[in-house]
Amino acid sequence: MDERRKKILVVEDDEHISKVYHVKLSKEGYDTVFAVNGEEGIEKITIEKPDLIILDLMVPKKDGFAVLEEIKKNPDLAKIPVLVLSNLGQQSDKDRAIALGANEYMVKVNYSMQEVVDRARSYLS
Amino acid sequence: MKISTFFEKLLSPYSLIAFNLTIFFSAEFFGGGTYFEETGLMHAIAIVFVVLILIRIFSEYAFSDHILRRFLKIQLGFFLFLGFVHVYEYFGLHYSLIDHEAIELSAMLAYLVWILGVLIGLESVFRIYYKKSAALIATLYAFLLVGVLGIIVLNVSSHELIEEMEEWIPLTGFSLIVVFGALAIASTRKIRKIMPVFKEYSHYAIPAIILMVLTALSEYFESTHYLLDVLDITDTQNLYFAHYFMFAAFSLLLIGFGKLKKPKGIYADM
Repeated sequence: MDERRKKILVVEDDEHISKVYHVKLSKEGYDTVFAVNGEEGIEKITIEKPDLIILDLMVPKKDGFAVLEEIKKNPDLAKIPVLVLSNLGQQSDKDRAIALGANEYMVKVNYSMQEVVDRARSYLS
Repeated sequence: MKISTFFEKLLSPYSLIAFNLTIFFSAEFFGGGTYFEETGLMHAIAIVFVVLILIRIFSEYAFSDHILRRFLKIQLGFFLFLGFVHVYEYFGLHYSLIDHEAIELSAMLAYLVWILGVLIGLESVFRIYYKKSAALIATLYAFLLVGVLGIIVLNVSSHELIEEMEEWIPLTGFSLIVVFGALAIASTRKIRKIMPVFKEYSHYAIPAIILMVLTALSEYFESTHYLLDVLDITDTQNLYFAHYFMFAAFSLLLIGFGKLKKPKGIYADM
């Protein structure tokens, strides 16, 4: 039986990181969709209904916190797991993101790309 | 060996330490310890640093997000400005195109402009993070404008006008460097707390800011001959101190920006 490929939506304005995500996640067998700012992120999350969202917080137009708040308010989207991957390293930012409904918070300089992919897989299995 | 690899070796801490030590020992012991001043070589070394800064500017950085890129562009832009000011200082002093006092004071104002540039780069990040108004950054730009206008005025003014300048004017310039330098250090400490990607960079940027303030202090003493009058330290030695501090600061910044080329974590996979 042909199982539907899981879809990961990445909200990230750093094109270098997005390229690496695309390569790594595609290799793992996932479909990837990208948004370069918060507004585009909300729009694509609503249309694509991904299985997992990887969310950067410092993105243009609408920051990651606002994106998180909006998707968690929407009953159709609220259940989608959100993995925050950000450069913000303060405990207050982590607490805020978790309080807003993020499933996990990872700081970009503390994790390798493989570790991020492993975490993503754990939410999709 | 690839050209980029060769450049990276030039910008390694070991190469830069060796370069600084070579400058120090050559200046102090070659030609009776005055050769580097008499020939203008001490100022000309800034040309080498401008080349190194340009290499850093055109290096490939692992990140491309809008906040980090903007920060980097502002910081590197002002870094290059500071390098060029010293090349200008070399040509101005060595070929006597510009008044000596005007050049010394311009160099001091250039440190103020650089420190303001550091603060503007940092504030551009804080503005987004804290969702702050543009008031502080506008104030910094206003000071920046004053600094740049000061440099222009100094370089077009007559020698007599500069000679008659009230003593409080350069003292105010130096005091502003100390105040903004302290603010730049506090802001650099703050940014590494907010964004750990800046942690390693800050280990080099903070001592570099301190060294630049010391450079400005030496330039200020040079223009007032304070060390000669009080401690019997010659103007040549004072000039050397200023340049040792400055070259060390340049070197630290070159290494610091290098740390932003390939930070740890997911950036290591870029």
